[in-house]
Amino acid sequence: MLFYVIKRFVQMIIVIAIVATIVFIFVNMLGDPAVLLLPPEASPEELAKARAAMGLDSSPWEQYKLFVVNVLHGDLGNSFVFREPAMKLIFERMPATLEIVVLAMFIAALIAIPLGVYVGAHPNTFVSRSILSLSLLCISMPTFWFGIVLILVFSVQLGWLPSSGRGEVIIVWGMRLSFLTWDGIKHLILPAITLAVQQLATQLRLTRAGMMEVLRQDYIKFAKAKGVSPHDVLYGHALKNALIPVITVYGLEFGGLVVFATITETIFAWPGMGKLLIDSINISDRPVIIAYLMLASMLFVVINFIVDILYTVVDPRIDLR
Amino acid sequence: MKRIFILMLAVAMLVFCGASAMAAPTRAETLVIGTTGDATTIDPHASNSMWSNNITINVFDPLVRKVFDKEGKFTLVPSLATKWEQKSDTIWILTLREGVKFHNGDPFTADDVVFSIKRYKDSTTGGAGFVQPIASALALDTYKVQIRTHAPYAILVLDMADIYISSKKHFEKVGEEGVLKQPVGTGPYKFVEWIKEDHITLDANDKYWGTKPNIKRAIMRPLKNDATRVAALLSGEVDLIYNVPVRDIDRVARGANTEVKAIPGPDVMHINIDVTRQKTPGYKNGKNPFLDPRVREAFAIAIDRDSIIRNVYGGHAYPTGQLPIPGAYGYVESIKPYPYNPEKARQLLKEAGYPNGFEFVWDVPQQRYFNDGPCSQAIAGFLAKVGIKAKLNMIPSNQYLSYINPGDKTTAFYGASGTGKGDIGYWYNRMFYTRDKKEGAGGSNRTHYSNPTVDKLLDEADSTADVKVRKAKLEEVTKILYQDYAIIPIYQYEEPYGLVKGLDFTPRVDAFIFDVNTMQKK
Repeated sequence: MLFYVIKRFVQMIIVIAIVATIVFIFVNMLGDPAVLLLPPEASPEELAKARAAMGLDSSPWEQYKLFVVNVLHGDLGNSFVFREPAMKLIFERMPATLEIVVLAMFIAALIAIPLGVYVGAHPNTFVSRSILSLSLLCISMPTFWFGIVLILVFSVQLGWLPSSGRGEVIIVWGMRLSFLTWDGIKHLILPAITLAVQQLATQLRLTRAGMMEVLRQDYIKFAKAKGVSPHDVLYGHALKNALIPVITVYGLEFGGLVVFATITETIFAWPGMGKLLIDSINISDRPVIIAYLMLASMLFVVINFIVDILYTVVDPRIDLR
Repeated sequence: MKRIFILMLAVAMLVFCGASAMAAPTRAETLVIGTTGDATTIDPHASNSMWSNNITINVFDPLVRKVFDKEGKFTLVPSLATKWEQKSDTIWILTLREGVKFHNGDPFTADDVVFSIKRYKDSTTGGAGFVQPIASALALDTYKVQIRTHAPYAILVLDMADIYISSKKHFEKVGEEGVLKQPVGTGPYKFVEWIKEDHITLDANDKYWGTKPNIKRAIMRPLKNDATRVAALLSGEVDLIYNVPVRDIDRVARGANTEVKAIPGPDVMHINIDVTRQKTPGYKNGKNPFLDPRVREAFAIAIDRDSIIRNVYGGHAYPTGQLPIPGAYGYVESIKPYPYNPEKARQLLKEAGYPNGFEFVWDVPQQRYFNDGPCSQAIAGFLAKVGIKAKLNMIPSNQYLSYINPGDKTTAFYGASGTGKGDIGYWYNRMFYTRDKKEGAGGSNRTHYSNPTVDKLLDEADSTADVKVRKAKLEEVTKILYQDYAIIPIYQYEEPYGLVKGLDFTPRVDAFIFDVNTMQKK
């Protein structure tokens, strides 16, 4: 186990180093940050001054060497735009994103797994077919469209829920959290639903496929013959084995939403991380882009690791070695 | 089960120990503004970004304040400077307002003015442009400042409207980082908090030296997505929004509690073309066709501006034939948009030796300006009708300026010019002065325009201390550019604001659009 953890840790370092290098090369191909940051009529002297202040006046190779040295000292650089450490900017926005993503993934799992089991166990009923068609609709519905429809219906027409922002927050250890106030919860509902819908559909279909596969196997027949109740067969024997692909995808989707929930965040003016990435790309805020994508790759490696450990819990036959 | 319950209780207790609830403002006394982006900094001297400027104008006082009327014309009224006298061509003496106090209680003096100008100068992130013509500032006594300009500069007062004063003492106490956390000005509103991408809160300064603020609290929320911004206004969550998208203007105007206020904005969209170089990068078959004024004229009159404005902008734009906007120094009343005349354009091309037209590369940005894609395609369509084939070279917004900036890759590009300051001289100097001839001029002359008469007129405009002379010279340049077809202006933007009924709001045509102290809520 310990050896396994060390191995994964080394892998993580390698992945992050490669990602950082690739991203560093690519951000150098984006527009000139000085030109983007300064007003369009800025003089060449002003531009030169700005470039020097941002450390862009040396060759890319020199910049890369400096970047590596700084990273090894734990310094990912200051944002060109905000003149604050890039990591601080990302972490400031992280609680907001985690709130909607955790809620969305929770809603998705809560609905998708029981429905998936039902549809997998009774594939030919009318209800199952309706659920499946509906899930297809959910998968193919564009997020931005669905989010705006929700706003128009629930905020503008009905006036039940607020259209945007975080509402009243409570500050806990420096983190601003919405889910602890009623007003904040009202603000959370629409963005969380928008994020949940696609996840829900994907997980439902995965659970169904897994169930159909597992239910055909001999040990299920054996369990039924033994006289185990239909409910225990489905949820005790079958579901556990059907869950492996669901957990894998669940983990990856969770990571994906945390770092790339940009569209939903933009529609609901939710001050999360995803918006930061897009804004930084638009204005070539290189330190933030690099720090962000390094963090994203780290997150995925960690999530994969957790998923691997969960495998052994769900299916003891799987061995980490 | 019991264990889990105790654990949850413990977590809940921890959470509430660390929690601190925020005081809720009353909605009726609060003005909530929906903007299209977040501020980049709250340091007034560090940048010239629109949404940072909108904190600046409320928290700080300028030396001179611009007051706008319903038509978008402005008058200059004394603010922190009560008097300004010109001692010589380059020396001005400002008399400052006495008895003004910063939000932290420090008295306002000449040292703060000198300090603020120096901070602008030292900015590497765009602030330096505000004080570019100023060479030095010197405190003569507690309430007198001497300002020296590099050269005679007639419109220093206009610049003074964009110079905001922060406290020197406060800066010395808290340093660069402290200023970024808590800006301290003399303005009608005090800074409360800035939660990035969420909101900025300002509270009324009850001890303000001027007109006491009517609105107790102002909150600015970045609502980047157009549909969200409109929805927030319609549902009553915000009171005022910037930039109502064209497709929603009718809806907001017809709303039960909402209305639209629209005025012509400071930006003029135009096409810059290379009219100077013999070989130009965007044309493959030899000599640059735009050297011939007849080709330029054909280009200018082939475009049906009215149709573009009607079909692409739903009628919410204004055709124009010049870069300065009405009211700005350099604007010439008698210049009308180039008339649409495709037959004459075809005739002119034939005379110029291009009976079958020609093809050139036109650089356009993707989503840098509002509706730039559809607009440039419509223009290309009109050009194609007379035989000029514009090959659109679409460049991502964030690479666009870098691409056209050196000016060596581009033959023609799509751009916007702003005269929010009220004077076109700065733009003309950057865009039309011959390159590499004079320091500080011609820096953005991406199409290599070079005309000794224009250079001379601009020199004269910049070396007079008389506003009237400057105006006349700049108007002369506007006329030459028009007759030369040196640049093809298309239209002036409209700036539509959406607001709740009962809000007294006058739009400003400059880079500081939300002066909350001029607004009233009923």
